[in-house]
Amino acid sequence: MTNVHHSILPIKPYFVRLRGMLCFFVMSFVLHSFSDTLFAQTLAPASKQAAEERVFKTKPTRKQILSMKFEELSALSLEELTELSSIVGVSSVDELLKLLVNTASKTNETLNDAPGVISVITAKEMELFGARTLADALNYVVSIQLFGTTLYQENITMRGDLYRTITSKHILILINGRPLRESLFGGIYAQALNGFPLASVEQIEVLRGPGSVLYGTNAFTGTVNIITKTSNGASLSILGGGNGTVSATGNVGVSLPTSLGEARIDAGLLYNNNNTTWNVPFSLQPIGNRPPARITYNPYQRSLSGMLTASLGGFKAQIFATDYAAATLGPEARRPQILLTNRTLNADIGYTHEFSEVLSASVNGTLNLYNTRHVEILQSNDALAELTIAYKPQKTLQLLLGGVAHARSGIGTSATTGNVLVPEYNQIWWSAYAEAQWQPLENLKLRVGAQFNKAVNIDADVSPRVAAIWNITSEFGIKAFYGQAFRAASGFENFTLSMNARGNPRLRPETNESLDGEIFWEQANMRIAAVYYRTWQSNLIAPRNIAPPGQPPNNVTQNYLTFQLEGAEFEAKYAPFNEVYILGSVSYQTNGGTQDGHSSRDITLLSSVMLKAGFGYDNKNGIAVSLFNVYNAAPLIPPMQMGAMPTPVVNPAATAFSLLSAQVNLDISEIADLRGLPHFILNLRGENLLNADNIWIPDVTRRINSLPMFPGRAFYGGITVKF
Amino acid sequence: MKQRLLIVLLSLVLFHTGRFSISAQQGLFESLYILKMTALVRFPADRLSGEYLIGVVGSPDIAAQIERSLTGKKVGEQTIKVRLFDETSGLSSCHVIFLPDQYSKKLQRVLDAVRSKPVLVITKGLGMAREGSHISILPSGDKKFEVNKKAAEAVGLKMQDDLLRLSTVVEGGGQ
Repeated sequence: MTNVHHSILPIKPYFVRLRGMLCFFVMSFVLHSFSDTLFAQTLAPASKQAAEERVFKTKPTRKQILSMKFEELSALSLEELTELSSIVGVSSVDELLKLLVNTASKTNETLNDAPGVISVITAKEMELFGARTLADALNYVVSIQLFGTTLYQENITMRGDLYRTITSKHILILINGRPLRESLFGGIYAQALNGFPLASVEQIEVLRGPGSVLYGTNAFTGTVNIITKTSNGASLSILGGGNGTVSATGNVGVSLPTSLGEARIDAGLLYNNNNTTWNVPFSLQPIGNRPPARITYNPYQRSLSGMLTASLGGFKAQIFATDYAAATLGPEARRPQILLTNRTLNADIGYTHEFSEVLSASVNGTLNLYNTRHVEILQSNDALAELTIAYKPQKTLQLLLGGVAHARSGIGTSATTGNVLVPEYNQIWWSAYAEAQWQPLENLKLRVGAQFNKAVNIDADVSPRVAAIWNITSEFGIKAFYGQAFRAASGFENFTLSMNARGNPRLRPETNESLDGEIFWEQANMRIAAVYYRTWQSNLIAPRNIAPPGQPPNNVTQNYLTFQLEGAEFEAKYAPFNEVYILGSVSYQTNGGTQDGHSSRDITLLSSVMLKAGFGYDNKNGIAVSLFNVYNAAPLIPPMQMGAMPTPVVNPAATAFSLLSAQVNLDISEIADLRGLPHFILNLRGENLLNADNIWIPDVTRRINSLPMFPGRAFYGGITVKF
Repeated sequence: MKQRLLIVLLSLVLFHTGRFSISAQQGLFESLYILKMTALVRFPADRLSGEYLIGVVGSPDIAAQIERSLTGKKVGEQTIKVRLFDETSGLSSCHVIFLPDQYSKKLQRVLDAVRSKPVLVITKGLGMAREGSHISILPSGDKKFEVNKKAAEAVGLKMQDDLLRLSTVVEGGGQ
């Protein structure tokens, strides 16, 4: 969707990286083939003989399997049947609708049982609707909105919660339950939204509403949990087309029997380069009485990232590393674009020991290293140690206890002068959480929990939650929640020496209090859910001028804003036939805020109404087509932000828009009935089909009226190979 | 007129209340799995004679699919018979009980109904074997089944290695 400027990117390192990617895929394929050999050697002699006597000397196609009679199929071994069923895809409806989620309670449970408002996007859905990036996939989810700022092009927000922020600091992204968190700004996710290798993703769970009881700071209005694949196989996709896009992604998974049990390694890689053909006439922020400067903006992005997970016995380890580059206009959009680079390393190692059927404990160590450079050099190094104990003394009672030590450090300097913008900080936070789940009736669950937090210089804080889940019938139920979440001040908010706003080390955490009610109805081929929520945010942190009237401005970050949101969400997934799949959602929100006793309504600059709908058809014989549309109503923009100057209207107005995309996947191996070959799938894609022009959204800082978010109509073509 | 027609068509697709008929392939493979599992689980000697009864809980559609596929087939010398159970009474006479995923909430009642009897309980979905079913068919992943070997052995059922090799072995369910 975005572009990269040739002259800015150093060419040679990318050839080196491309060569590295090629080596990775060759090695992955060899490893994958080798593991098959290893696995075959470990079979019992009888099974080995059976394998040699298989009906299929080569991998059969779906057509071939479906033409077989029951008697022929029943003559096969169970192992052979499992292989055939995965080719036929008999579980496709199950895989789309019968999901287990883990995010709401850190245990696997159905959507109906989860103590939280959860939506899930599966790998099948991403493939069917053609998501290219994590941002694309999240845009399928109800109430999620993508937004860009002049500093970071890709951010996400939920439920209209967007007020005076240039990052996604009210959302926490997890990878397999472990936090992806940086402490300097508290919400830089552009590198993951553009660069997370989707080929590695099994499903994305989105918990809407407070998540701090289990996940701590930043799980404020929502938590996104990326669950990665753990299955044998390999794939490679290459796509190119509109806006100079060249992308490649792939994954490989192997299991190896060892004397300590089964070892698993799964890896994914993504290279995503949106090269520069998206040139946007753009006006910068006016300075003084001068007219706004006019530039040509090329909002390119380029990501190279890898995800690796490994497990053996109770040990699990994972690493997500990114090298991201993008155009930035800086926080204030006062100068022509420059290069922003972001290099991150997110690593976690954990061990789970099951003492008995009812008692288990996990320890995890998580490291998040961030290095961002533009006109500033921003670094944060955060380490987190966590102990979790799960105890289930009775079938109807579950207890979860946890403790976290979080060491965070960081520094910010000017890239040009070397001046310190954020002095080096080193802090340790402590937190502990406890949750109990009681099931007084077979169809009724009650869950109560709280997290206790203590950071340096501020009083201890407690975030509680209460949940009730009543499955009235096997198909219909209701959920009700009350919860609180918090966001601790970022290093920048605590310590910055910026003239725009000096830091304040005594900032209290922002708090979010939320009431949610959900009604759901699920059948074998359908799930619908309707949610009403009301949230109250307080102690929100923002710069405030504390100078007496008539004196020069003296801006200091303070806790002084409040913000209320109220809304409704409706989402549905429906598979009327095995070949047809429909999903859709509608969300509505309204909001208001208070500052120094003055109240305003509709201050988030986001659309009050969003409508998302997808239609997919997969004939199960190699042809899959889909359409997905995201409609955002025109944002309600108050004439003036509270306490601020009027926003200069220098760029095209942000209006309602529809992002219609179409995807066609043609499995050549299935269509041509090519037996014994990998699946070669031709991918054709169109984006923003209804609009020839760029789509503009409001600039949340209100320094200018709007920013380009999505480029005009574009078409792509590529190929996926599945081994 | 076109708009009305479109609304009517959309309404028919989106809100038709007809019961979902599971895909033929899905029912076929579930039947095949059940058939193969009967050969990979050894029953006590006193259950190796008479008819081999497979009970399907709750779903007439799935019961009909399995009945079409398996009725008349044999497990050893025993002829398979498939019967639908709306309630849990009478389940202990079965050799195998299949609990479709939309009825998974009834697992505890099913287990209570067949407590300590040599009846193989097959479910669908991750986590069900931890709740006490003996075999659970998984929708995706490297391993296609989850088995609770300990729970099966507690009621006199012995799982063979060919089944265990394809499965994740779990415990739980208070066996």
